[in-house]
Amino acid sequence: MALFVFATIILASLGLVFLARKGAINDSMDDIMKASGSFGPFLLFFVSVGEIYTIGTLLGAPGAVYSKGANYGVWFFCYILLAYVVGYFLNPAVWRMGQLAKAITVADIIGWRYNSKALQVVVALIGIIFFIPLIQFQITGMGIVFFYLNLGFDFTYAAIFGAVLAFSFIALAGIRSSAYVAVLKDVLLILAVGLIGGAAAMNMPGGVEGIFRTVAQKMPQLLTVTMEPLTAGTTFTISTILFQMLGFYVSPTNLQASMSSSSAKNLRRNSIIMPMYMIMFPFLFIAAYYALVAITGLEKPDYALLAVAVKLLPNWVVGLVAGGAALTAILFMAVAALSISGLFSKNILALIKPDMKEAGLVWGARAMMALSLTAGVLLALFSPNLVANLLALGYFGFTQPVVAILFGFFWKGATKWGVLAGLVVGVAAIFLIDTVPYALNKGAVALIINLVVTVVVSLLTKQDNEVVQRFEAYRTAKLKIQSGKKEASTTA
Amino acid sequence: MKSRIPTILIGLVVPVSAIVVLFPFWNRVEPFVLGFSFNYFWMFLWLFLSSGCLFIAYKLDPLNDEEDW
Repeated sequence: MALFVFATIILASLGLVFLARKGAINDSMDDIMKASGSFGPFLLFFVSVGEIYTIGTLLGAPGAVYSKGANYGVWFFCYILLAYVVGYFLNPAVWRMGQLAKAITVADIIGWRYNSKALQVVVALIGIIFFIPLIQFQITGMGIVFFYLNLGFDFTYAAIFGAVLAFSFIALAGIRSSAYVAVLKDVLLILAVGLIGGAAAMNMPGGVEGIFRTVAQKMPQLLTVTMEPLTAGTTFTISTILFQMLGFYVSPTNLQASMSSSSAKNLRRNSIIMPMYMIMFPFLFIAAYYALVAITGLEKPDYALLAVAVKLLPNWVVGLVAGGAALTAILFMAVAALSISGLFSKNILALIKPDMKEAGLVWGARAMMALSLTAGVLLALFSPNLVANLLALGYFGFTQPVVAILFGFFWKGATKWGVLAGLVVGVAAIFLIDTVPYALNKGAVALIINLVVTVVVSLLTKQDNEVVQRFEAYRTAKLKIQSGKKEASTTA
Repeated sequence: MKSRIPTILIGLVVPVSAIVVLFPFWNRVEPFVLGFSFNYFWMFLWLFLSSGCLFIAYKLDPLNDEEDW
């Protein structure tokens, strides 16, 4: 029965991709990467939430609570919540600069703003290198689901099957597929997590309060963030929240989603409802704390959510959970591969071969999609631990361009050499720093170093006239819009 | 042009302060509210309140009155 439900879900997702093909233009980079900037409020909502909750959220958040309690659970929830708040202000600004730059990727925007091809390549490389491990991570996560729920597939087949499905999504309908499949995936996910959390509450005497009271009595250290000494949890929690809330929307996939919007206003309106979508978190936390008191001795903490499902729910719901989890992983892989392929084709291939036609770039992008998914599968199958380290560093790495982006809006004096030096030193710091002072988040420390280097080098190097003009163009485009004229919109 | 400061206050400063600045005050077990220990109640409460803050910010935001692209 579980397998039947699972298979139905996967088939339905393919059906949705065929629906998504309507209006898709398969030989246009602009259409594949950002649906020609055509998404209104409804699809924009789904494409943006579709890429936020990965299999890491679903298994990792309860797993972290199961093993480390509030010291991990609290920052995980709070940074996402505040990222939406930051996104209200950041996303429309990035979108607007994207219009001026005629951009498809984040590297286009930064490269245009600072008038530098080298910078464009560095930003693209950072995105590619720090994102491939995320694809591998989705496959490993899917493996955990299949293994624990015992659906009867071999991991190798599951990995290959997932990657092939992800490739078909983006090859058939580009980013449009993500928006359409996300509708199904998110309904399933909320339903599944709601059922698991609800079942956990109903199976504990005293319901939700019973669960949290038991934790408070038996293991109070797991219920709140450790405050004494401050370095035992508080400094990490706060620095991580601040760092990741800034970096969240700079991730190549989230940025790709913002660019598909048809207007800046849509992005703002979208931000209002984004926090509500976190409604599944209370259920995830209820399930995780239930597992903590009722299911002891799990072999891996990441099994926590699935263990609650298997223990409390009928078989068909387990199939629902498996389908939702697999789709989450596949969808995220698809958009990650899409974003990587855009960075490769538009920002690296097009520079190596400047005379290449659009069709060539599209094929280059397709090849990179296949390549990055294959790399993910191979890494997951043959050396799951090799990039585990790189994955931990992933967030620290792809967040670094946020300095370039923020200065892009606010500081006329930032030079390409300053931004380039800041980025390179920031990324290097992630690999070189061994112990972080005051137990702060390593990425936050790297970001501060990046910021200082950017400012110092910018002050020491000569500003390029074109860069000042582009800064002014961005500021005045905003003024023009504010005074009701619409000239700037013709660049779309 | 109208000032954007009220938008920034309600949309950004209020939610960030509620979570980050007030952290030492809400990071506690008691009192329990709606079944949750106080810290989780506070976090889940701000899920709704952040949305509310952004809604008010959107209504106040001068950029929305004056641009339509």
